[in-house]
Amino acid sequence: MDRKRKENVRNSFWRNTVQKFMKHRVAMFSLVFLTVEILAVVLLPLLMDLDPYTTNVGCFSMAPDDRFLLGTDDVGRDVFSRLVYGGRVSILVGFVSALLSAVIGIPLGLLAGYYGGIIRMTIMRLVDIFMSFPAMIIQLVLVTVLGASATSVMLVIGLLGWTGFARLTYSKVISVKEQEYVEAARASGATNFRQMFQYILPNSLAPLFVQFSFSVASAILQESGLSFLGLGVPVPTASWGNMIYSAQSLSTLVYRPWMWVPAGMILVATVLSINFIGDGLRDALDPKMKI
Amino acid sequence: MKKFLLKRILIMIPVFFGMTILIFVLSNLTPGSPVDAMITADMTPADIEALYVRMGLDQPLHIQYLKWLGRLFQGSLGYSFRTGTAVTGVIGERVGPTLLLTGTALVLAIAAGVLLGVVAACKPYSIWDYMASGLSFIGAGVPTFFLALVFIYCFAVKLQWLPTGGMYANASTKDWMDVAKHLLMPAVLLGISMTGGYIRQTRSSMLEVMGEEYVKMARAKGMREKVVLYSHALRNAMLPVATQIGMSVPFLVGGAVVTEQVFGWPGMGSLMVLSITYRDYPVIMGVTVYTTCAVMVVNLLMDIIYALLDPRVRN
Repeated sequence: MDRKRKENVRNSFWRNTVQKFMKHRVAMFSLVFLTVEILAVVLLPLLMDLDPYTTNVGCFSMAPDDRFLLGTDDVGRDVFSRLVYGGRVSILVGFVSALLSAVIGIPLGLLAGYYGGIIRMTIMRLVDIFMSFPAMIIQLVLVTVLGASATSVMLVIGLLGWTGFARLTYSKVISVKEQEYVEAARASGATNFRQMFQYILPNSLAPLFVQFSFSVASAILQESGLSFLGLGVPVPTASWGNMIYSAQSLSTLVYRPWMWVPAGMILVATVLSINFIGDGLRDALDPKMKI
Repeated sequence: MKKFLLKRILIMIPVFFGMTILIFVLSNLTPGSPVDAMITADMTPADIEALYVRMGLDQPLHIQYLKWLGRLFQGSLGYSFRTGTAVTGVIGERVGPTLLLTGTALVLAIAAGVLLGVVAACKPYSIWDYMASGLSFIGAGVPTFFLALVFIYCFAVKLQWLPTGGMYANASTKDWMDVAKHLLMPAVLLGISMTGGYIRQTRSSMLEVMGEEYVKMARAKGMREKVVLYSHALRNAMLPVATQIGMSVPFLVGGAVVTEQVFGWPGMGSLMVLSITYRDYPVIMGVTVYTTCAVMVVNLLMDIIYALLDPRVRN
């Protein structure tokens, strides 16, 4: 197969994938929603006069009105501004953590699956050790060690999330490397590196894309969980999780829903839309799926 | 099978040591000394020094680790800095509630997950399929604590069907109906948070398996659909589901932390959060060791089940 034709085949695969994805209505809708949301949290602070930090004296726990679109929290900060700034933190933590996990996990899984033997043993035992840890509990201890901040939350979630990528890559690689086309590549003298990165990895990627999207969603959830316990992103920095934290008091829960319901709703909408995108991706990348 | 078991158990030894070292190092990196919390205004520097010595904090780290490990093997996890009583005791009274909560949640989640997953896969685009994906999206997308707050608002505050939290209405009469009432909301919520993954995994691996050659072959041979479904498809589709369940157990423990905290359930999760606030290292280490050991044992059981399901694994 000459070079040009090879490229055509590759292009048609991706074009096909995009076409299939676009036909997935829920996934497309989610993608639009997420794009709008990311644009909003990035651009709104530049366009509007938003102040998430000033405590407006005399305006504690105010219900939504003309001045405060979503009311104020218990120390008089504007809830709408905090929602926007909190979105920046929560979404950023989600993407950075997932990326960190993927960058650590995928190469390790590839090595373990391809080489087997002592390399596989070492890497997979490491995975076992990490997976034996209830991540939440280690995260709690680690955040306390590193000092609570958005950066340490990202690090902690990312560093503990790589096992999923490693295991998935590993399980995919051990089946892909037995395929005829890899054997053919090996027979025609492809180096180990070339076999791994040109033949095995591209053919193992589909589930990893899906894993990545779920990983982002899960990281956002983990951040909100930690912050909800009061052990994640520390106040005064806003995150959706620490905004919901206020509802641990029963009176806020019942009488001041504007403090926690919007943060919860937007959190849910974000996580759901990322999951839907992952689902759409999975279907679009699956060559067996015909739409 | 015997060889597989032996090998699998031997592998647990380095994992155990790696784990304990990690836990020990981690909790010693925590800023702030536990002694800080015990210093009172009328103490002299000598008193404080004596406090350090009494707690063994003056010795080098590796000696502290070995001593801790030695005591661990004797079944003693040291004394809580917060209450001054034995850690095993402090944890002991929390194990039961956590096991009750996580066990109930896991059973509910697996039952609902596998059932809905299979039905969704066999009857794609049916009402069941949509219901399963709906529930799995709620489970995967709505954070437990948010759903918990909504549940508390609806069922405890507005409708007043269930209590807002705790384990007993009255701790002295340990009435099991009362415990069940308190258990219902947290267990269902924790279950919902787990079941999404099981539904997804069961559904997608069922769908994948149904397209395999051996399923087509079984159908082509004229086998009844039920036999094809249960003895060919489901048996093979359960492999990734078993992995998923094993992999999700640490998340169950993590989810229990949040759930227990929201509902004031007197388990190990709320103990953990409390201990972190007090920098109560022995208890932090104890809870972590306990939970990781439990997870290791569950993983071992899952691997055995996996080997029973898939003969290829045994070799």
